[in-house]
Amino acid sequence: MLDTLAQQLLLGLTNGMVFALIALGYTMVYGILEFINFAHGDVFMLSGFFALTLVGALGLQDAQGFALFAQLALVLVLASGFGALVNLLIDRLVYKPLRKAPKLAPLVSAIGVSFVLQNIGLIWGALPLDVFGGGGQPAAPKSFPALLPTDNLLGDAALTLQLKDVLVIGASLAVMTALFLLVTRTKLGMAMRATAQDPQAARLMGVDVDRVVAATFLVGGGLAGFAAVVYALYINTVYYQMGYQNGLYAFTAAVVGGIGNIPGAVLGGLLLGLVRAFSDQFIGAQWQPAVLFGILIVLLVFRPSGLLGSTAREKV
Amino acid sequence: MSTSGTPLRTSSDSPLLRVRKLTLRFGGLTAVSEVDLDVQPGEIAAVIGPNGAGKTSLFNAITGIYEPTSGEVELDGNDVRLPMTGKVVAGWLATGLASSLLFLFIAAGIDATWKAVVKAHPPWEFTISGAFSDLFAHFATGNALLMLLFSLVGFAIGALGARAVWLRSRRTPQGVALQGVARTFQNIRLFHHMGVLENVLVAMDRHLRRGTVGSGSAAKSALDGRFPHGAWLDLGLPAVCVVAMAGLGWTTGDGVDDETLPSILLLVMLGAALAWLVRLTRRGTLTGSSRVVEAVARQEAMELLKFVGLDKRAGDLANSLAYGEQRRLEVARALATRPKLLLLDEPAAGMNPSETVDLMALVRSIRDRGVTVLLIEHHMRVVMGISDHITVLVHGKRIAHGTPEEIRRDPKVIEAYLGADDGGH
Amino acid sequence: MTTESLLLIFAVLSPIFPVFDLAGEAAGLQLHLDQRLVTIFVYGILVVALNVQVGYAGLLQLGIAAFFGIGAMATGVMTVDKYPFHFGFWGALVCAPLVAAVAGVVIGAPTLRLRGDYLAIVTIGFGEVLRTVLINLENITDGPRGLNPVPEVWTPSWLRDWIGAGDAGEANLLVMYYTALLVLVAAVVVLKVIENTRIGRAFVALREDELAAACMGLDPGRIKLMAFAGGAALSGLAGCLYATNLTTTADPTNYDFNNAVMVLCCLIIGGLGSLRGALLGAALLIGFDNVLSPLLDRAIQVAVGDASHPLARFSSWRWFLFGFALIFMMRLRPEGLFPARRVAAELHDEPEEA
Repeated sequence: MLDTLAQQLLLGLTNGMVFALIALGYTMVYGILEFINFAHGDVFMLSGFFALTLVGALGLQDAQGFALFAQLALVLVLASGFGALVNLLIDRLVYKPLRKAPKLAPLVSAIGVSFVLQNIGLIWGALPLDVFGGGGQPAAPKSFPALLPTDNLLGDAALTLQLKDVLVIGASLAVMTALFLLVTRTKLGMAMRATAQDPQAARLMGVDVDRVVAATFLVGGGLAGFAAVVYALYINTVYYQMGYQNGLYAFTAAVVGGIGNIPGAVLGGLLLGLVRAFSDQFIGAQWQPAVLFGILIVLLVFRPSGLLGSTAREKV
Repeated sequence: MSTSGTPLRTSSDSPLLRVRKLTLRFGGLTAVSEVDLDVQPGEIAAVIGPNGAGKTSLFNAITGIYEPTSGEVELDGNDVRLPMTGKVVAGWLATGLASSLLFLFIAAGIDATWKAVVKAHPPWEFTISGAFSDLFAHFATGNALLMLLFSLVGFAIGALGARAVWLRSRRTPQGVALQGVARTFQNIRLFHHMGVLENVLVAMDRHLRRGTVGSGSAAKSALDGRFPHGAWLDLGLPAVCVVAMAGLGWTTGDGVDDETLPSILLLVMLGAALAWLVRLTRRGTLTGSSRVVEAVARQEAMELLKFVGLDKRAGDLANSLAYGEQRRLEVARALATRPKLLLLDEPAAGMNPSETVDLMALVRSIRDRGVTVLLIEHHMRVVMGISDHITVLVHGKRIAHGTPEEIRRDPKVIEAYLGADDGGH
Repeated sequence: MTTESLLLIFAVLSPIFPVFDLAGEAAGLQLHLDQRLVTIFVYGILVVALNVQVGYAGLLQLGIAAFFGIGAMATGVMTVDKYPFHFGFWGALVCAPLVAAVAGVVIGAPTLRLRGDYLAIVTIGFGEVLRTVLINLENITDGPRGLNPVPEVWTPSWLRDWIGAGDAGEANLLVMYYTALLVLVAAVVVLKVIENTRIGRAFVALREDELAAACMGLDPGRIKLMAFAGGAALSGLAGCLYATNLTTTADPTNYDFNNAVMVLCCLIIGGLGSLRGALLGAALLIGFDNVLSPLLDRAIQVAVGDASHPLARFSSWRWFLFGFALIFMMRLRPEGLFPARRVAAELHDEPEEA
């Protein structure tokens, strides 16, 4: 029993890291634009496809030792860059012209973007590459090769700790620390926080709000790209609808932590990952969406500002 | 001269609005601090103060938009909160019971319960009483402790949730409005994309619902002495349609031997539905009485528009009006709720001198209609010209209260206004 | 658009499809317009229902498919042979909207304080919860298989003989067709009337400025619940017709988020708040999806010869259509193709700074 608990704890932690990485993208964009970037989950999904294509192109499934890790790092960097670029492109092409439109417009557009990206993912999955099973079955999940050794690092202990667990947690922590430093220690981060607090005032104080928004989308997309590789390494599949559900879960995480709040997103992601692991274990995986969204609903109803968020009053 | 802490009139006549030690805090910021304010029926009262003195916050607390951190707001001796009646408590209990039932079924397994109750027998052996005995039998097989626990938790969630929601909505803007307080907003908040007349009609919603529209301040029912021709058809036709449809389902669901009765029901259903739809199309309202009420309400709304001088613009969109006209439309809309007390938030803001003079006349004629007016204004000429009493707020605190003459001579006020930037531009 | 002209459209539309079907048969195509038109009508009702919530009251509700599913499932439970209720189609047509409306109130009540994007997310969440529940309560819903057979619309034999001129299959199709059309027309007529009454005005006032409306004595909670219940009831009605038309309650994945977005898409293309727009949006998009794209699929297959590759089917590209439709409409013509007067003005304004 204790072993099961520990195992679920570990699973929840790794899942939570992935949620947290995606949730950061939601929460940063919301903090600055007060807008739910509905397509964020699909940037995550497309980055997964990009990573899988790279893995195929580099022949990573056959690589060993140092070459494997060097190339894996390359894939991580490139996929992050890909996610960042896609996210920025979406913002410039779709959201930016709607900055002054009523709130409904960007949200509906984001839903539209989400569907376009999903269709791109669907068609991407039909590419006639070996890693995609030669195409032909666009909707089927594509298996992402298990690149990392699956030995138990703890030897014969009942608790299984694989290299990928360590990698997911370590890499995510590293990225989150970097993000934290970016936001708290750099000029850009200061500008971000200022803009999130009061765009008008920030603009008057000489902050280039447009640049800050661009940076936010870049960072958010990069985190999603990073999360995609981590997720694919961990779950070993990529498919065109993985962005929708994981995106919604991650959004839930962002809300749980208090949307717009960066530490909150991490906390929310971890909590949600743990809840998911334990509900899968004790309630049943088939009830997972019901449990997780049930939490979202209850939380939004009773404490819409989340665990770490502060309540805002409407100006009259 | 009277200054803070000593209300001008302490006589026995009861004020229409009575604010006592009202405090409003946002986080660390105290917007309003222990403010007292009395407004007597039939007067024009004003609240003045430099920018950021907490005037609008005070209005928001009075109108139920903000919940005061502490202090009292009373209208006509009534604290403008929903009373906790037996009906409310019954509502909590009912919500709790419904929720506990749901939790009970979850504990017993919804799927398994259905299987045990509905699917246990072939459909033709199903009876209601049998279903209940199956249900209890199924419950008996479950873990009693777990089911009890779930029911209790469910009851707690439902009842406490309903109570929390009720507590949160005890004092709401609509509740205050229904007690007879109407307001305008500093930044005009019309329904910009509705027509001018529609804006006024929206504010008459309560009277439309109750049928208490028509001229005169005593809300007399437009339907008094009139029962519109064929009113029973308005409810009768759809009811007949639905009942016939249900009957049709009842008689045909199991297969049919004799088609006579179902055929009749089908024809009755179609006939009633078509007749109802044709009636609706012809008349344009859901019921005959609502048509009468609507017509009277439109008349009343037009009178209000005429009162503020906008009757010629009744058909235009609200956002096509000039700034001063929008302010007057807001006043007409507020008056349409038939308030006892009208709060005007900087009514002269952005107006030119001639519009300002018109506004002063308008405020006086509102008072002459029997509506008490409380206004916030920067414009000293307006305030001094029309107010019976003035309260001065600085940094959320009341520093003076009195007639215009007293306020003009009050050294504290002079100091506050010389220290502040504007006052009488 | 007056309701008289609606009735006119009804009169004109009703005899149309047999002509096209015959022409199609002559050209060697199996059009099956009758069944596909019913789908368009069903979605028309759904779009009109969403219009009550999103168009009139401004509540961005993305869980409409859940109420659609509830309506279909209620119909299934109340009519199929394996359950003892046997209410028949007409009984289900009364009950399905009631069940859906109750669900609408239950779901609506706790979300009353939420606005805008938060409401959107919560309703998506509800949709997902419901879909999960429908799939998992296999003893009740038969899971992915769906409950079947849902009985056809009961009509007396003399009416059948008269409508189908003796052909039983034809009579079936025609009865379904007229029933769906009649329900749609009734819904539109009633909503058209409500638009110009106290309730219609209250919806719009709420959308424009909730706080100002509350300060005028309107109860936002009550109005929102009315919008929720009304829209849900209409969706339940649509669900009942949908299940009857398919003769099964179908796989619960039919009532997922994609479906809700499709309905939203119809509404936005047609024009938020505009009944005419809602109907034409449904006709355009669902018509494309159900009538045109199968035809084009066949054309492609004929042209390419062997077109077994999934990408050679329109269904693999349809989310581009919906996605780009949403993006371009929001950018270029946010009021939709056939806008309502009020919304058109609203969406072209810049929001005022508070």
